[in-house]
Amino acid sequence: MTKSLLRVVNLKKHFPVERGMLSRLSGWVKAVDGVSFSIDAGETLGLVGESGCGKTTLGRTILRLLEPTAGEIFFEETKLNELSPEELRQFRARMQVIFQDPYSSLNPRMTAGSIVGEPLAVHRRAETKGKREEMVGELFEKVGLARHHKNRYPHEFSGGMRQRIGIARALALKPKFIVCDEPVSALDVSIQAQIINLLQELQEELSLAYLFISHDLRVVAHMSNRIAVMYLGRLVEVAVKEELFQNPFHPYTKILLEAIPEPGVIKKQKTGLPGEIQSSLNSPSGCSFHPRCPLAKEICSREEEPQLQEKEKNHFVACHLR
Amino acid sequence: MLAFLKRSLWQRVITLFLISVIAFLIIHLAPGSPAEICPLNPKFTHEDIERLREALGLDKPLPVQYALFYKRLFTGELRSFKDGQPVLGKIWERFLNSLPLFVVGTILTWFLAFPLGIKAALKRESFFDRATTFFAYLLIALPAFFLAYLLIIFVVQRFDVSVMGMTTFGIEDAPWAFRWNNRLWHLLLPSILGAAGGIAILSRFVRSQMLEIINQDYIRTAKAKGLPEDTVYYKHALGNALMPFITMFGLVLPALIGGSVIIEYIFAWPGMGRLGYEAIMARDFPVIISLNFIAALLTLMGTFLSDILYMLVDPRIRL
Repeated sequence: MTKSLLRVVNLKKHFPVERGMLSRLSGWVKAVDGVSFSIDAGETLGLVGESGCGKTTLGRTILRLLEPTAGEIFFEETKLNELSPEELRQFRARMQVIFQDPYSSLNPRMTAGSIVGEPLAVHRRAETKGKREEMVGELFEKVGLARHHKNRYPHEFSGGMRQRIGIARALALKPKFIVCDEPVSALDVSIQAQIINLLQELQEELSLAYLFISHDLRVVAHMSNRIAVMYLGRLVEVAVKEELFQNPFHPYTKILLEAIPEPGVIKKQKTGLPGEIQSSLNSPSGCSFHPRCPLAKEICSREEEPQLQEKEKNHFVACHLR
Repeated sequence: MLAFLKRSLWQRVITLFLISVIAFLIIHLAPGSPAEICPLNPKFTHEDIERLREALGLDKPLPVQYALFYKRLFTGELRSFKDGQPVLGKIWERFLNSLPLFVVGTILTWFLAFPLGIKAALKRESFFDRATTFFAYLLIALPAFFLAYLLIIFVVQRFDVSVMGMTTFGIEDAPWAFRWNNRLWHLLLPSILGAAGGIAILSRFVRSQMLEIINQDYIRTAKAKGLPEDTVYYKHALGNALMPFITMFGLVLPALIGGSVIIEYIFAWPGMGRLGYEAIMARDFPVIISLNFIAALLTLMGTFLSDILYMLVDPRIRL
């Protein structure tokens, strides 16, 4: 096996749920519950799933913006879990994040230039102030903004331009890996395409690796080399993009794929999914998908949660029926 | 920006005029005429009351009274019904007495509430947070007069000092150092009591405001940049969390008048709050309406000031 850039082993993030006056612990929300995968340098792994399945939590836990409950994260053989706060702070230069909401993720009281320039200053990437200004200008041009935009405040930009500022900020420290947490879902469709193209161009130019989180399969399909499907805090299927689209194993993946709208096609009958996503507070016995699964058999509720297994080469799935 | 200031100033002048009319009318609508109250003498005849009404100018039509009142207020000729002293002089004297109480109380409130609230928010759910929450609600729940008596009893019994008034009676001839010391000592208890409730409430506001901000996406962005924690909290979070308090700061000014009626009363402090209270009891119209007018003026000045501060601090506001 080649050395991967990022390797996540059995990662868990559980949130305590407290009730009542005395804040007694009444349970745990298992937002991420035993996730393992790896990303190679320059690769894009797409991560799809419904709202509330733990995609965002997973992304944030990998970067230790949230502290993992259990499991290990390796970045170029450095074990992130063991870094001290100061070491982690230094390490952040190598892995960055682009957030979903370009409106709330920029400090309203800082100019675009200082938002992008601040990491350069803190991590001492420029010897002089003039050099830093120059680097900020280059970053602005790289993401398709004009240099004179530096002195404007975030509220003076449109959503798409704000997301460009967010991208410039993420690129400032020349990271090797970026978590893209639904970077286009808050934008108009026309702007979405621009931002996606920008992300792809940057990936080629700078050989970045992305973890691309989205609930939109079309966007993920366009961006990714491999795709991971997440349901209730677990990965249910991981495969190369073409393989996943042509030969999905997991019933949940099949339903997701069927639900992709195609222009000009009116689908007579959609399988759809009965019911809402289960609360991960009291997850069902056995396979967590079985209450909504159209193929569910007795084994699905009786046996343990199915583990992710390599059923075909580079095609992993977690299902009892496969 | 200049256009905004001009417009805003004009609006405030008009508001002040309307307030002056309404305040004047409301006082005259209130039951009890000054003529019937002033010398509370059972031998007063109806003729005496009529004579007093005439002397005080209360027999004239209201618009005339209004015009006369504000003319006298602005020329400084206005005199109290109660003792015939010039109103502005009386208010100025009491203002100077209230000022130290107000300044020390405000400084205590703002300089304690912010660190307490910020620390409670950053160390959420910790012992410190729980303890400050408990004491804040205790202070909010306890009425000021009750707390005042507890404190007075404690201080007087424990330290054997006098706490009433602004100084101990009869020390006018003492050396100045002694007099100053005495004044400071007298200032301490009412200031602390006046600030206590404010600290409790303000620190709660600061805490919830800070909590809201540190859960914002841009704080996560700041963390992801790899900034040191202090930079994240004190540069990115605090600056944004402070904004709503600019409005509150603008409203501190009018507290100079009505902010400490109870405290001044309990401690026999000859301040503005007590002046107002006594004037109401005596139906001393000139003093009541003048105080009201000054309070309105201070409020409008305060909000004007906070508007300007907002423009300086928040880049989203450019007028």
